[in-house]
Amino acid sequence: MSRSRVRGPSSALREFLRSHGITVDGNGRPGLSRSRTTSTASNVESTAEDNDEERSEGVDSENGTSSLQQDNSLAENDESSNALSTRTRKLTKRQLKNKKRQEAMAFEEQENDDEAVQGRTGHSYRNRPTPGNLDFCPKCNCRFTVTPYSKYSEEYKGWLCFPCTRDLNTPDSKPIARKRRALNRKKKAAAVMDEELNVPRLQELCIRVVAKYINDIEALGDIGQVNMDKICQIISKNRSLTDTTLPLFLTAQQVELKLYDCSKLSNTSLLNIAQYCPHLTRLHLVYCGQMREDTLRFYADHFTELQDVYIGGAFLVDAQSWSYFFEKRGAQLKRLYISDTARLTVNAVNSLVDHCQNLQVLSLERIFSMNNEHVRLLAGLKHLTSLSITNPGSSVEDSSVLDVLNQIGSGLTTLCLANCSLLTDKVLLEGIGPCCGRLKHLDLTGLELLTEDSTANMFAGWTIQTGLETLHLCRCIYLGDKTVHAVLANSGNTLRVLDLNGLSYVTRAALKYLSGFKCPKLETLDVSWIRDMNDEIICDFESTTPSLKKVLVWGDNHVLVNSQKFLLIGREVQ
Amino acid sequence: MRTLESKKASRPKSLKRNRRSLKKNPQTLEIPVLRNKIATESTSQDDSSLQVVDGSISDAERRKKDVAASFVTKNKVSDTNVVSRSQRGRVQKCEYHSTSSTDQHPIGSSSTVHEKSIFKERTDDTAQPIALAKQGKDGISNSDNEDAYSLQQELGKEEIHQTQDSEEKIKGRDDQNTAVYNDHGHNDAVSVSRTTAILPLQSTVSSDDDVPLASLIALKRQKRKNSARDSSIKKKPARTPQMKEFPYYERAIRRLEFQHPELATLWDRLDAETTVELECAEQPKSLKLQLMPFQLQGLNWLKRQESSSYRGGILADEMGMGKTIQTIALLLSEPRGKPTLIVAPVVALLQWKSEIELHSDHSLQVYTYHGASRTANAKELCECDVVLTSYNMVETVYRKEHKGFRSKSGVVKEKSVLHSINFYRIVLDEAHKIKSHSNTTTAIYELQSDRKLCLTGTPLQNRIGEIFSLLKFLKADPFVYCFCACCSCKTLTNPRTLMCNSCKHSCKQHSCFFNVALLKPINDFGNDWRGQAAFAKVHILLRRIMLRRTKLENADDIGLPPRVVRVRRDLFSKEEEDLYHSLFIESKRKFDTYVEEGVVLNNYINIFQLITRMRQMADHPDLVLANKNKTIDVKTQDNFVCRICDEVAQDAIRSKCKHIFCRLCVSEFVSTAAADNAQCPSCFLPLDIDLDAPALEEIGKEEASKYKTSILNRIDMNNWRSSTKIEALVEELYMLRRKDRTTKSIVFSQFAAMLDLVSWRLRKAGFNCVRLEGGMTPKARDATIKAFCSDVNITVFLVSLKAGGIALNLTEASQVFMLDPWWNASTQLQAMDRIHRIGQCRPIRITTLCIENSIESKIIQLQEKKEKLVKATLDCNTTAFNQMTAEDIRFLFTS
Repeated sequence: MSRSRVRGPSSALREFLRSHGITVDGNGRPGLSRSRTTSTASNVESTAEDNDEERSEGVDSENGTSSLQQDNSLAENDESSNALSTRTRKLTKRQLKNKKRQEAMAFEEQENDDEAVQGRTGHSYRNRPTPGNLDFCPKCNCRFTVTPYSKYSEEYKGWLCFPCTRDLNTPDSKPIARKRRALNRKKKAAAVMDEELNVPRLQELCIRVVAKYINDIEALGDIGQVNMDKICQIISKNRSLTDTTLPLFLTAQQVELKLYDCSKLSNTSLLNIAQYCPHLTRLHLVYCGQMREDTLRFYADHFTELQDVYIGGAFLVDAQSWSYFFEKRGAQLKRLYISDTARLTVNAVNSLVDHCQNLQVLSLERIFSMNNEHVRLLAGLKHLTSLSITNPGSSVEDSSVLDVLNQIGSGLTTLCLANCSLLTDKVLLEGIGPCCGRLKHLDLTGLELLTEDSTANMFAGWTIQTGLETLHLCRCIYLGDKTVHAVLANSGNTLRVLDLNGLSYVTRAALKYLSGFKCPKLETLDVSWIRDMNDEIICDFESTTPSLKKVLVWGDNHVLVNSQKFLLIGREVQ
Repeated sequence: MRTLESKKASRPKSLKRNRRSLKKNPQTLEIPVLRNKIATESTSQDDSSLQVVDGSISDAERRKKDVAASFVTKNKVSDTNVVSRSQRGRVQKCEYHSTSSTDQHPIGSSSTVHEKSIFKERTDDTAQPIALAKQGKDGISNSDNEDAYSLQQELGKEEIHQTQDSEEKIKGRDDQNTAVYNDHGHNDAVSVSRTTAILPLQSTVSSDDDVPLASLIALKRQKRKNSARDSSIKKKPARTPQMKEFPYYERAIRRLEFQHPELATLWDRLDAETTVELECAEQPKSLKLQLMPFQLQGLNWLKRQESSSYRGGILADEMGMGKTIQTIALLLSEPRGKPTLIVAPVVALLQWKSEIELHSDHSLQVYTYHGASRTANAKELCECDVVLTSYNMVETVYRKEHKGFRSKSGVVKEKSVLHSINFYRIVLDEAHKIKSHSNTTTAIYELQSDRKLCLTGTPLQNRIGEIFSLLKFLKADPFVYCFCACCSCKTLTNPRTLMCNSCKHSCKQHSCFFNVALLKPINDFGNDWRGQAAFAKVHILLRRIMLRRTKLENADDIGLPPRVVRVRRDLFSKEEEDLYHSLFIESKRKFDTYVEEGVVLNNYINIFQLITRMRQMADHPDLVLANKNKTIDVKTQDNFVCRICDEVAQDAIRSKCKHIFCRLCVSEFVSTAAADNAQCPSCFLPLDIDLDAPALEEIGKEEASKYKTSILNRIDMNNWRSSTKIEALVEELYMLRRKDRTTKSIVFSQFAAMLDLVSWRLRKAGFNCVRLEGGMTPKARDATIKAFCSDVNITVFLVSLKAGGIALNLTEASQVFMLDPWWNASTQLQAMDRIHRIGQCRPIRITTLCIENSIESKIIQLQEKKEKLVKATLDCNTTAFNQMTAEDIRFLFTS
């Protein structure tokens, strides 16, 4: 894939610049590189001129003209190469020779590719040419080259030259103040990650105190469901939800119970829940590692009003018990979440579909036995509005998902297919695109086989719906700029959450476009691992997208400044 | 067939030995006379074999050989022994008629036969014939033994005729060649070669009488060979007709079986023994924890095994199935005896102690025999119920007893307390530690006990031989015993001396039953039917002596969460790629040089270093650039780092546990902590620090550099940049942070420096993390593990792969991150089993971080390939690497 290997002879200046990591080609997407390699030969003579032109172009775009110009330059480039390629007949012998060599190399490349380099082993950010990299330092007004090591100054709103960058790093003097800052920085970093930047309210502080002394409390009294839930969250986090503290949360009239970490609750304790609170309509149990068959059967018999169930990590419960539970309780169930078990067999899913006909929300997370057969059965749930199949074990393929989407896709508002890694473009083009007209939330995390063109086409032609609110394209590794453009065109005005985590082919141009698009509702943006992200673009977002509350920038090693306007999570430096 | 070179190489040694034995044995004083005799007799018989013969060979020997050859041609002995006469006649015939066979036998092979003097084994002259007669019936199979046998036959014959005659009697030991020389003209000399691959002797005999004189010598040599052949092939059947029936590969074992009839029926007997179905034992009353059904079965098996003839066994349940608790149950079950010795790796000692105390409700008295303050009083140990010690300790005390140690008053030997006690029971934890032969293994063998038990999760890794050490420790009868092929002698240790102490036969006659019956067939024939027969026998044996259950079989009982393993792939950033690329190019160039010179295999260490550097670069460039012994000359920093604020320490002082703090930080820390029990924030030992000590910055540079061992001392903290891998880890950990639950993670890496960096980065990012390293004292280790398990705020545990790969129970955590892929997946699996074990109630996930455009993705590919081909070795050292082929390495260097 390496572009650098295929080059015609070039001028000394060009060579020099290249040796300093500066390439003067236009936008370089891998898809384009192949087509362009053959025509690079024609650029031979005009290097010096080209250079000047492109440099000035680069400076312009650097100074803030929109990325559209970039696209123009790209188009221009393509055009010129086309024009030049018509002239190839008149090439001199030497050029012909060069061309042959390049073709041979290109062929070699192709061959190398055919050897099926696994995944992205040949990927290289280094070889991706960046647009014109000359800039004027806003501080000292000298002209300099922007390199990966340059720093962006918020103060001056521009890239600083190396001497100015160096001056910025003045060492601090007072040790005590420095200490304080160091310790505070750590606390702040943790707070940023937990999104707890505001001063807690008195009520919350009280709850924390209660949670701290939970073992000394005999009864919580009448403190209301919301606060009870808050205490439960805290003691779950403290890992002190045990057999002795559990009774505090169980009252006879209760209709809702959420326990967030049941790993320390024995089977008997779990069973007791049904005895203490028989009127529950909503039951959420996370990490039920100790739950056994008898408990689930007991639940099936005693929770007569149950509508909303979450049972996570009950890996000991066998398929028959699940079937029994669905059989008994299925008719009223509206929401069902099951996660982390390998024992939900085809039979169990079959009885789920048979008996839980009123189900509106179904989430099957990390069901490791899940395969096509399981998925196909789900087509029978006619009232589903939300379907989530994440991290299935063996094999969930296009065909079964398409079957389901064809049957019930039109009713879905939420669809999550995270980490069903065998799914391909077909699901987008033949399933989600034509079927899902009501979709608001789409999660395609980890579908590594999706390709740029099909995804972009699908979003561009997806007119039957009115715009997504959340979209996760996390780690769909081959998606790039085109997709971003298409997604924004489709639902830029409605998006609240956009997750572009790990899209290594998204470039600066697309990010510029995103910040310039001014998504009116965008609150959360994940641009982690898009390496072209930098301080400048963060500043752009600050000014153009005021609705933003949280931006994730993990692995974006050029994001150094902090943002005052939104929460910036994942910077390397604190 | 042994090559000529190897024989040459071994010759001088044997000569020397020969001379030594001559001096020793007064009977052999006649040798010089003999030599003279030979010298006069053999005058012109030049030997073409000289060309191939090493120059160092003595003249006398050469002559001897020639004479010996000539004797065969001349001898006309009126022998009473009909068999031998007839044989001789045939030999003669052979001599004159076989011309073409010379080319077929390399000169060297026939001549070298004689290059070594040969020793005959005998205690006294008169006893010999009897012994020989007895031997005649014996079954002989191996070529080795064949030689020895025929040799003795010949000797016996000589003695019958001339007992008074002076005769060369040399006792000695030679594994390679045997031959006999006789100085008497009427005696025939017999030489036998070990290399008895069936030679087409008889067939090559031609009827051509006109033999050119020039080829006479060769002919004679040939004839010599023939005579040897004949003597061994022809004669043996006459005495031991049964040998003929057996193919060559069975003869060794048949020979042993002949002398030791009990071995012949052993397998049938074993097979006939009905294996009793495992029953559940009773739960010991004093054991608090309710055992699972399969653990009760295990307990029952352990009890039964101790009362069986084996007096012990191997409990080889998979990792995390509660071998420890089963053993504790055994300790608690009646009848009890004391003391029990438990030998465990150092890292597991304290865990054993705490588990025993926890589960036995302090009803067992435990003594930890480890460290400098250990007792020297055997009585004290005998009074304890359980003595805990480490492999290293056993080795140390054994060495001190046998080799002694240096002290002021010279070399002192110290009686080993451990080896003086006859323990009620010995338990080896992680018993695969003794799988290879080492001093430790020997020291372990020497421990005395009636009952012996091995615990290991991986008894057989890939070579069947690995289990031998365990069997030998158990003294499994008769498998590890050495049997004499000549008499009914049976010893445990292969005699090191020239002859066996008990039966006076050469140690060469002794062979270990395990080797002969199981190991050799498997090694020689692999998985064909002969090997399979041996495999079947191994299984029979193991079924009797080993109990292995897997997690899969007992999934319902154990109730473990499903294990999910995934690989997270990331890409280098531009800057990292710059660095990595230059390193890669450099490494590749070096590697290519090796390839061109064809010395890849000679430069494993260098290549290993190249690869290691690339792997480190994939982790973080600083591992290469700022390493302690850095290979690239870069200017680095030189700072102290405070363990509390993680900044460059100001006014640094050092605690007793060798951690450095700012004076300000630590005094604040101490004042906020409760009165007396301030714990070191780094290793959780009680904090002991002099707050008024002089600052470390003021001490000399030499002194200070001793405290700057970590990579953190050498990085520029203000301008430090992270790496892709570290950021990927931080992101993963970030995603696990939730308001309503705590998810704890273990992070493994092979590079301590990487752990330093990661911990520093994580702490600055607001994660509370602790570390476990190889160099920690057991106490610090224990304190750290406790802190991780009990403190909810500590969510990350950084563990070095080698230190924490075994004997750690961390079920509080439910996530594992492997920072760098290791050569074989099994080491990683073992590390992962720290959380995937009994007691784990949370869903678990294992993530390997991999930089996709670096060497790591290739390592993972290799890993997968390895996993498919063989179950890779579990060694986590360079041996795993050494098993890589040159092809594999080349693959790593493809771009």
